[in-house]
Amino acid sequence: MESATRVLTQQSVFINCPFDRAYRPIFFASIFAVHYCGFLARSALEISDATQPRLHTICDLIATCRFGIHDLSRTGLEPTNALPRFNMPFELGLFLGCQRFGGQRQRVKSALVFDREPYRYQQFLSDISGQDIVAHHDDPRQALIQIRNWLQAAARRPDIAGGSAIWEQFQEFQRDLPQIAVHLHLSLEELTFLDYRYLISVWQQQRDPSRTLTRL
Amino acid sequence: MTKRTTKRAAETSKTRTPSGAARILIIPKKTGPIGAKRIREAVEQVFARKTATRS
Repeated sequence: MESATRVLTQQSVFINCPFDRAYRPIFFASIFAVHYCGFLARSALEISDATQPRLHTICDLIATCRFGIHDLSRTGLEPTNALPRFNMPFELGLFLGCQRFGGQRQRVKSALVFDREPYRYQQFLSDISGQDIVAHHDDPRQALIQIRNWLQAAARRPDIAGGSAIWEQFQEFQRDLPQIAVHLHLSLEELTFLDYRYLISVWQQQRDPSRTLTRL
Repeated sequence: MTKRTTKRAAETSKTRTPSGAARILIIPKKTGPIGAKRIREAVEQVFARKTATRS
């Protein structure tokens, strides 16, 4: 019988992306697509253990995710201090290193790497040239469709509905969200990643009760 | 006319629902400060209203 940890690893998708407000539409669309395709979205935002160095907990998280979405679209100079943020490329490096050096179980890892424009990454991260880097053009719809296409191929689930159908359902979810927030007596800004992820799962369950539930 | 069910069609029905979603839906055990029950109730209320509006 497969261990619970192994099942969790096989179904987990690590989302390595910016956490700022402007990126939120893509982040939310990504979480929705991951759960629609039958996986579990994971993020550094779920880490709450202040007793451990953050790097250790991120490494532990990466080790327990077979799949990873890495968005490099914000790699550039910050307007506030003219310095680049390296967290996303760094965590991509950790993920690829885990795949390469982590042993047999880690070799099956699969990554989807996003940038906002084609070939832009070659100017700041040429080491990953030759990998398939996907441009989403800062468009949540394009990001959602690409995630669906990638999971369909990488996880061998050829029968998932097309990206446009998933996008329509995501739009329906977005329309319901303000009413859900009213019932929760809070604003959408106050939803944490864990709450938002749970909310998406429960919404998808209500939307399609024929789906088989797995608790991880 | 006899309806032929191919092997692929039979396998397809196992991996996805009629709406096209994956058959399996993962409900995370870990929730944030709001709590699972509260979120579930809020979603149920919204869907109940949607259903009532349609009928």
